[in-house]
Amino acid sequence: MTAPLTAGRRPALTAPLLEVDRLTKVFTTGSRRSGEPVRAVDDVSFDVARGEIFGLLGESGSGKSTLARCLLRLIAPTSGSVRFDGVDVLDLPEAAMRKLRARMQILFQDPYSSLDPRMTVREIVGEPLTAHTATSRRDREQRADDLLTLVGLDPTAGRRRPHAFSGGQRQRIALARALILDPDLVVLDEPVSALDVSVQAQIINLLRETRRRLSLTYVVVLHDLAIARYLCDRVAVMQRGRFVEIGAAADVLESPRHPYTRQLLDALPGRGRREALHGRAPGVAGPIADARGELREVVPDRWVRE
Amino acid sequence: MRNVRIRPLLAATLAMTALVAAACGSGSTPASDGTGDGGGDREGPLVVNILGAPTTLDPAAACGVNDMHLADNLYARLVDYATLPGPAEGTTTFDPSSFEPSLAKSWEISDDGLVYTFTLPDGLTFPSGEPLDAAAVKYSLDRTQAMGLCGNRYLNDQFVDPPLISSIEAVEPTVLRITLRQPNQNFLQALAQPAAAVVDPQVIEANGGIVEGAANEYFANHSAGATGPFVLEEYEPGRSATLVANPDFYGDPPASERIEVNFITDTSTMLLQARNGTADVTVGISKAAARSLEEDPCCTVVPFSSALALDIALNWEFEPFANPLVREALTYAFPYEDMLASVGHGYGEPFYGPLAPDMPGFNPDLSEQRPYDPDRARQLLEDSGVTLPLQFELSIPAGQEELAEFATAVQSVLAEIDVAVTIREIPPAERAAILDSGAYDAIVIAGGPAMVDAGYFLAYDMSCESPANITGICVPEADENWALARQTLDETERQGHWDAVMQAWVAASPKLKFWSIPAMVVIDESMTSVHYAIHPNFYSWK
Amino acid sequence: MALRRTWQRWGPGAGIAAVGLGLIVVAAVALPLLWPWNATATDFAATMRGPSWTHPMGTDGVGRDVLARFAAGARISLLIGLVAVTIGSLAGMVVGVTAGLLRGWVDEVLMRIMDVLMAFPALLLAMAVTVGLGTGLRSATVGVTLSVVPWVARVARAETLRITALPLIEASRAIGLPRLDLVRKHVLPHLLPLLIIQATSAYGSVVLAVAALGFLGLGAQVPTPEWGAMITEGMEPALAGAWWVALFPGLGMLTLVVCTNVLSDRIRDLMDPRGALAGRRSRG
Repeated sequence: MTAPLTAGRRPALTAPLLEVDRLTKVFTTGSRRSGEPVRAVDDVSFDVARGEIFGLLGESGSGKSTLARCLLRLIAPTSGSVRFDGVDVLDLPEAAMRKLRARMQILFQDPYSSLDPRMTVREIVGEPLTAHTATSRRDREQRADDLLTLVGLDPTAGRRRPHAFSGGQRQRIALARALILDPDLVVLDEPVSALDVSVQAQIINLLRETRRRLSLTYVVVLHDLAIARYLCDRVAVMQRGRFVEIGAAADVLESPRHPYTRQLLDALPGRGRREALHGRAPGVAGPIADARGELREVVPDRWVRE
Repeated sequence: MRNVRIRPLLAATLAMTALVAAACGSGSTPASDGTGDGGGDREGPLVVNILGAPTTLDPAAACGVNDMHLADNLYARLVDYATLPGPAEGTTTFDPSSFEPSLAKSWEISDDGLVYTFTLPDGLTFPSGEPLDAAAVKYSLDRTQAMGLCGNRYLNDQFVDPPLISSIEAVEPTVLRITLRQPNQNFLQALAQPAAAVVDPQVIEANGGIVEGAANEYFANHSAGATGPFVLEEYEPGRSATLVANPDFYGDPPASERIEVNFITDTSTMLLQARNGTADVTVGISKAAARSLEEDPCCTVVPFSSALALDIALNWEFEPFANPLVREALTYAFPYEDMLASVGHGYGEPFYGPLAPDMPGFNPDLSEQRPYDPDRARQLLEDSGVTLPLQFELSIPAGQEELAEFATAVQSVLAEIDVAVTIREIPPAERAAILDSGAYDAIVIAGGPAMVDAGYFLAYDMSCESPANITGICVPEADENWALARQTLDETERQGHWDAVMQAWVAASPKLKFWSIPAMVVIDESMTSVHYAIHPNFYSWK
Repeated sequence: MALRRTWQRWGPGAGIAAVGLGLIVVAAVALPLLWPWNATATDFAATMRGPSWTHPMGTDGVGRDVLARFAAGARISLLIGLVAVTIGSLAGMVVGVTAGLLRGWVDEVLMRIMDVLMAFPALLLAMAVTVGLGTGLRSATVGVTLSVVPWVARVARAETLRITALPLIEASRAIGLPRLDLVRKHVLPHLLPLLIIQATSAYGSVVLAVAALGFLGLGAQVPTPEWGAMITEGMEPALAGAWWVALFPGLGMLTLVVCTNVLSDRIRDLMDPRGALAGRRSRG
């Protein structure tokens, strides 16, 4: 790789699992005449190594969920590139993309609406197999039961429908579905923010546990910096579609360098204003720090917008 | 979202249904305020409900009987039908074979039957003061011929090329001479038709004059001069007309000063208004309605004889019907008496022949209806070699319940002899075109000629050559005698020809005939005098 | 026990409606097999007879048994209603789902066509069809079927848009489910209850529209024993005192339409399509 890397990316010894280069997503909102284009994701670049947990932080509306969907091509980006295991995701024809989806899964924020209420849990968990393999019904059910056990549910749960389960249990079901195809990458979109605080920790631990056991790579969208500190290896802080700071989770969250990151940290529950309750991203107090400037590598692997 | 309902559809459907019902009701409700339901001297106008509305008021353009609802009341003619006592007390009817002076005081016919000389009264004038003389009559007759519409056919008794009338001369103001190309026994009746109505030349010339070969649109909805016993006071096309006595009429004033005529298309409305006394006279009520009024003290039901008949024309171009045995077979398939008593409601008289019982020239001995003999019908069908079941389509005019019922009866009767009939309802507007083009297998015809004359009638119902023949029947021997009869002035000799026509026709079984159809008139108890004529004439009504 | 629970769920109104509808269905299905009279056989010796033991609904002007015609008419009304509603709903569903899934110009074109169709009342639409196909039951059926399509299409499209915006659809896309499978397994099953409600509530008006066409002479042709046409046939006899010819088909029509509407309302209440997803906030 002789070409200079884009700001935000780093040279790596082994090829990263995910390489994101100058990814941009522009939404034209409202009616075409009056709506101003919104740059939800603006010139974002980063790499994620195999086995890494990469956190995308920011308040709501900062574009982190859009970015997460762009990675999986659930939303078509406006420009830039995403390479997954060396394959350009955005360039793939539809059929090949569909195949590739077996290796990159997503876990949604809301376990209530992301599971079809008309299907049994077994059917839900086994559904990815029907899309990608020609397994028999028996095998599918067996695999589903195995996965349910893996995520800490009783396999008998498989015969029931999602409405019989609590939020935490449903998120386990959703995770089982995401894992059944043995993917390399799982994008977690606010995996616990819809859950009661009491079950959040269980799910976080489950995620860590499964990552370890299945050698997965996670890209996690989070707004709770405390969880990020506990879960992530590296984080990127996003503001208005742009990264303002990238670095190891411990570094960024303990010694933030960008004013916006500091504002975010100040808004954290227990560290200032107490308005950030579950289900909502914390609001940043005071005038919002500027997102202009350019990302610079201030120390190795630590990028800050200046 | 939860309230997305199809209710609007339902509401719309209901509204439409209501609308249609309302339209049917109001469309034919006369806008009458004064109704004459008191006995003796009525207060308001005499109210006449009549089936069907004129499409034109111009007597020279009038085609069907509906167009002639008012003509005889608005316009003078040289001669008129003689009057006979009617079937009920207080009624009179017209005599289709005898004529009496009307505008003309008298007439003479030359021995060779070619020259008719009419004497007119002296000193008659139009309301404008212009003389109503022989020249005005000539103008009127010439106008009818020049326009070349239906009136021309009536006036010339179907001889249009060359026309029957060779010349019309106003010899003197009181003498009119008409010369014919050949003798014609029906010419006086032709002169009693609306086609021979006397119009006011000044009114005509002031409103577009005469255009050869074309109708004058103005007179479709306006009177063409006041020469008859009534003048048109008000006219709402398709709905109603008000007639008042004509002060300039040359004869005695009419018996009623004011007559309101409502044109009605819905038979239910007719029945209701006849029963509740809204209408003093109802002309053309359905047979079923008439039957239900027979016991009602409100009114008297009078069936007047007319030359109308109910028949099924069989298209000879349709292959099975080209076979005389097939046609004959069908004539034996019907229980005529039972059908007449049920679907015909008992009004009429079964017969089989070219001429209806009320037609001059009719011979009952030669027109007996075929007996009901299904075995014979089956045998004849078998002999004919036609493939069974024989299938054909029976066309009926849409929206006429009586005929639909009749067609249903025909269908079920013919099913008995392995003949499968499908019924096709045709819109009234397409009927003429369908008859013209012969695009039918068989068609129900309930009606008859506008002029009560066998010669005139058979010209369109039988003659081989006539382009006016709508049924495509051709019985050569009958045809020859028909042509002779028309020119024969001697009554006995003429009857001989008609008998020959009947015999030849019956032998060929050219079509199915069922029974004669009387004209149904319902008369309110308050009426003391009603005259029935083939074209309504209210002159003596009171 | 189960019966009692069902009764409680449906309520007495719906129970009566079900009985009424059941009677008509039984008349339509069983009577033509059991009743000795035939709907088209005439009897000139027994015309316009009032109701009696031999003819419980009397006879008409050509001596046909009105009960036999009533039953045959019920068969026609029920069947046409079923055909029109089924085909109309299916077509509407295909249009609505296609428009909702593909969006863009396909959506625009399809929905504008639906708007045009919707602008005409069912009757006018059917009348327009008779111009092209000629009068008769067939064009009446085509006409009323067409009138059902836009209503269903609109609801189906709106519902498709709502469903496709649900995270569970995104989730299915994310696992790489082929598009057709996605529609078949996730979109259609959610649409179904709503469509059943739409179809049942359209049923009454469809039956009514067919009868109205028959009444106007644009639907069933002589001598088809269609209720609307029978009412027309019975109008004049009714004025003349023979009330039975028009009354019974009229009552049949009334019963059928009212009963299907009451039932469809109940079905709507019981099959609330939100029901399944509405539980999302109750964390059981």
